[in-house]
Amino acid sequence: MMQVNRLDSGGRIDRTKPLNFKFDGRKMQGYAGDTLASALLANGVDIVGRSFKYGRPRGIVGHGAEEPNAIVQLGHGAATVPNIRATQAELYEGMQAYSVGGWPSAEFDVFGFFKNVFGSMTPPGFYYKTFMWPRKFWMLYEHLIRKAAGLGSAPLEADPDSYDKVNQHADVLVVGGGPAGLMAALRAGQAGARVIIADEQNELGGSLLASGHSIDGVPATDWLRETLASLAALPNVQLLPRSTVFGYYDHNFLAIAERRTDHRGLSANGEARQCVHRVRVGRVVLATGAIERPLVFANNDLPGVMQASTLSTYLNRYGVTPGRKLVLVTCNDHAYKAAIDWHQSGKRAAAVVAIVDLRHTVSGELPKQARELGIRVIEGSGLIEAQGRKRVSSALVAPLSVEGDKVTGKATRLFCDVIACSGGWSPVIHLSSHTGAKPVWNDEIVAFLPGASVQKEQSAGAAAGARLLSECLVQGAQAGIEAATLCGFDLGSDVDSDGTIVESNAPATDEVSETRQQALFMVPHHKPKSRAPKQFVDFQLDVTAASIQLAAREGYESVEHAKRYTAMGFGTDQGKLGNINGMAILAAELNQSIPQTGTTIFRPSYTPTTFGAIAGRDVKDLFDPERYTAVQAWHVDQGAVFEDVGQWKRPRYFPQDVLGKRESMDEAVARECLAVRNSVGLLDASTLGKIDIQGPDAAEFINRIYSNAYMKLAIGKCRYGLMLHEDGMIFDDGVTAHLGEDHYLMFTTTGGAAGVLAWLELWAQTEWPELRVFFTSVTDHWTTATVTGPNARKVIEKVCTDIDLSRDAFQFMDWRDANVAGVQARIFRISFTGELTYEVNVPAHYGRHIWEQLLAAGEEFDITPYGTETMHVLRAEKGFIIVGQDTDGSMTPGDMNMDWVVGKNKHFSFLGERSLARSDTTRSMRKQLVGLKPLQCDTVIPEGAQIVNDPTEAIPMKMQGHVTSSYFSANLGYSFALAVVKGGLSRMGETVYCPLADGSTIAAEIVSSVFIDAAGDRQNV
Amino acid sequence: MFEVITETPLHSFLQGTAQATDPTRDGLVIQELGLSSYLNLRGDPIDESFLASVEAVLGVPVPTKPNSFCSSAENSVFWMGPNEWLVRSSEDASSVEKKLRDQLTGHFSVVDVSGGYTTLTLAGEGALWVMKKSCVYDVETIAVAAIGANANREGKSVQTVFAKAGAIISRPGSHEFQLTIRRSFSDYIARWLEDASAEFGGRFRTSDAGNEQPR
Repeated sequence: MMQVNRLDSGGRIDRTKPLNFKFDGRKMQGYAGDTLASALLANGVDIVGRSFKYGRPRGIVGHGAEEPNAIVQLGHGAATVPNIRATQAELYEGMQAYSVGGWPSAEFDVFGFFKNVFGSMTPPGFYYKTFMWPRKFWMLYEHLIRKAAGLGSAPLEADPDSYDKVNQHADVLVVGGGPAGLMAALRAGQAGARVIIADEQNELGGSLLASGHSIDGVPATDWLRETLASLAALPNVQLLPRSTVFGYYDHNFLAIAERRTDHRGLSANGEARQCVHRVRVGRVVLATGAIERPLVFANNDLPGVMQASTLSTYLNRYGVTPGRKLVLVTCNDHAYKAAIDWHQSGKRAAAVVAIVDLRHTVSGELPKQARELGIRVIEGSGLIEAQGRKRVSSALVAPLSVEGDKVTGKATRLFCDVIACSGGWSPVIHLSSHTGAKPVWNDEIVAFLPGASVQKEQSAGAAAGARLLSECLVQGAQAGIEAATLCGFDLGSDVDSDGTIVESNAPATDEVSETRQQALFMVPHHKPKSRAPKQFVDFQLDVTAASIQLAAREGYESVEHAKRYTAMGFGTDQGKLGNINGMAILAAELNQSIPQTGTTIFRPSYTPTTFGAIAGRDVKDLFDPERYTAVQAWHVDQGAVFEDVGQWKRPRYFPQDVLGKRESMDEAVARECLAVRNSVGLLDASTLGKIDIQGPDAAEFINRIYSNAYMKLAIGKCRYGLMLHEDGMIFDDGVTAHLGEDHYLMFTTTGGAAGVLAWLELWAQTEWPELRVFFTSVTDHWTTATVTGPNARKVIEKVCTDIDLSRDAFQFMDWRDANVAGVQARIFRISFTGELTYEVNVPAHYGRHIWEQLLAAGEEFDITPYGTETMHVLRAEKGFIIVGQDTDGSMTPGDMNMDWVVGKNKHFSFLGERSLARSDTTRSMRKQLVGLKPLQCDTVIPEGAQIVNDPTEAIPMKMQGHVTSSYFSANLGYSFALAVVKGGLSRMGETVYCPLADGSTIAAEIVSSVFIDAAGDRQNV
Repeated sequence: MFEVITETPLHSFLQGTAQATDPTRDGLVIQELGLSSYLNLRGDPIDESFLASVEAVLGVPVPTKPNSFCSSAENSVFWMGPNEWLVRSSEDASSVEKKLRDQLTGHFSVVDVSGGYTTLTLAGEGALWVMKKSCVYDVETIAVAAIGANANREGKSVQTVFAKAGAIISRPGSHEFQLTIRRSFSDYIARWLEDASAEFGGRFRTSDAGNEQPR
């Protein structure tokens, strides 16, 4: 296709660099510097999509983030990107873009079909009213509606690109690189502040990129180049083009999505495609500019209708005239510039048919210039209806009342193919609104302005309501100086008597003054709203003036209700074009003012943000830290299967090749369990939490924290304890050893370590500051190798010769300092298997050494490394609980049949003691820990299975408890379980039932929770 | 007798990574310092005798200003909290502990945590940006302060979140940062750094001291 609408010269495109691209499969060409939108317009593409609800053809109406229609999908497959505004997509060689409105295709779409069936009577609330019946069909309807109305499709494959995140800190963040933002950044930067200036476009400059004005006597674009050079020369200023500030959060924290490679193509070639800057700053200058409001009139959604500033931008910045004959409709002077630009564009056969001004008195300088150029100006009239099928072909213009609310005469038809409109300007107050600042209506500029700052921010330029370039430059400079000053940087500026900063060096412009605009949002029609051709307010979600009228009539008077009823502003464009018009129409319907009607609240994101960018590098194996013990590499080499325990990776079991076949988990666990009970096993227990406790009151403190007594624990001895919360419920357990005078070592569960340390500090710092005690986490310092099994002593004897290891010299629940394999170690005789056990602790840099030495020493006994699964089976055979598995925060020591761990005669209460005397904790029939033995001896009851007395009972059955741990025991030769059962300890021998989800039932006998060595002899040998 | 082998926390990780060859050409060199002694010290910062005794043993003052460290050629003392410090020493941990215990009186705590920490340095043009990618703290504002021999006696160090783990961070040079991290998180942090530094050509280098017995 030819670039039929491209001007021969002008604009910021590079005509020497043609770029080939495809739109909906059609080959086209644009130039470097184009957006997809400008290239499509240059190629004469009118229709870029079908509308959401009515399937109407839609064209490009905007030139930035506000674009509601030209939403495209880029590329195919895993790297495809949905939801891209063509107005913000920089063109690159080979771009493949697809329109997304309309299903099954843009040619025939389902909503065209609906439209034919229902005529044009598809009122708001249509979906809820129509598709809610029959109710069960909603799922189907919803699926189809979403498909038909979709704005693109997400890729099904994993995203091949990577993304990054960076934390930035600055004194001043300037949002927006237009005239105000540039001046703010320049002044703040010159004052020495650390400045970041972010702008969503490919180059900084904002409106200057399409401006025909001169600044300080040079063309705006020259001034821009010089200013950017000045900024680049300041090392304390960071320029971020292609960077959208998409969210403004508490404490002056803002998020910026920087697009790094999107302008080069779909593939990022290994670079980070986008980077989210998480920015914390002292002051924010919001120089976000303003978006021109369209006027609402009949058929205003026809391709060829666009904002006046959009027309100027395509003309001046991209060298594109999107048509031949222009009719401009406006209520203000400013829009005349578009007609003047068009007139002066030099395009053959391009003509300005007329400027239709809604105002009855037109006296401004710009209208005067237009008239002098010979452009016809029709005063006191409105463009009441656009006509055409797939594109504008004519406009109906009729005289209006002075208030602009009624058509007062006969309409005349003007033939044209472009209609540019302007209803005034809406400052981009989105980011200000994110902070919670309530927008304030201003009658003078006919727009909402940013509300009083609730954070350390200020708005400047068009975002603050400035209308002229010169005002923007001054406001920006002042904001920059003020922000820097508030951050403690002094530029030595003059300050007025009332405290305002005087900016005396602001650049001068060649602008003319503008007269007041008329506050008009909607051009009336001969017919009432409900009968006139559709007058669109929100293009993306097909909300019309009539639907807002209907919402008001049906009682949805609050703007929030009307919004939800009509879906106005719910699109991905967040109603950047339509919301104010919609509110104005609602206000008129309700006979109240716009401020009385209020505004809706903008929320992040300003424009849609890729999930990948928010995730950054916190994905895959970097998603969450993996904590390793010093023996990790050995575990990996041995082919261990790992289990996550908190953030730790722990070997779950070590499958071996048996007769050329890899063991299953059950096989490996059975082998490991038998090895421990029959000979000796080796466990990496380094992940257990370890807290060193020192101080004269250490014993007293521990005594209060644990439910059992510690005051009389001798040096060299260990004791198992239970930790309760104030409610009397178990929250951690472990062994504490008395190391020396005023010195203890506490073991915690692996997952509970950090919580226990915080718990100890909490009580020490806030409740018992009089106790002199210090805590230090030593979890990472120690490698703990647990040697357990009847041959454990024989193994230890081979590597430890400096202490007496005999049963009576080094007893169960003792600990000793000893030299193990040449390393100073601490050995604890504590046991989680019920077997003879030595837990060897060495500083972790010796961890691998001690592990290898123990393996070598144990070789003759077939020492067997085992994992957490085996550990679980072995401890369950002994009825040892695991906090968090057999308990769930509602279990007392008594419930766990562990009253032996509760000190009855402590001189000071312990945490949770009082709660153990509550009526609920002392009542009978609490759930108690028991063993279960399935009657079918090889059936393993699923953990979590519910227990009932009578399997034939009607639902809801009376629950008796649930299974907490369940395994097959190779040592016992049958499966077994631990469970909590109501009154279980007094129900030994009874049969209970576990009904399963598949309808089957497992019967089991209630037995003691200790299945092996009830007397505890094996650990005492 | 037993031949005792020690391993730094990143021993296994570093065996699988490409080594930096020319530090002047690599944009970023990440190095794990060899084994050092680390001791966690707790005591009363208002007790003059406590502060004086520690200084007498270590030869450096105890920093009482939040987020600071004091160091000499042998010892560095990092502020960890109002009554908590981390001592990094080139001396044997048990002898440091013994000297402190002999000297200190009253309520205090000294714990050998040498197995639980390691220290990394990041040096090169990309170091600052890698830190900014990894850390929410405003690392640009950490004043440059050398550690160890020829050191400023006092400098800034901060305890903060690094990626999703913790680190004690100081800045020995304008393009150089030092991270003291916990052993169990060290592989994660190394993988994170490998990823974050890739755009700058980041490389790892094992300590010149290698894996040696702590003195």
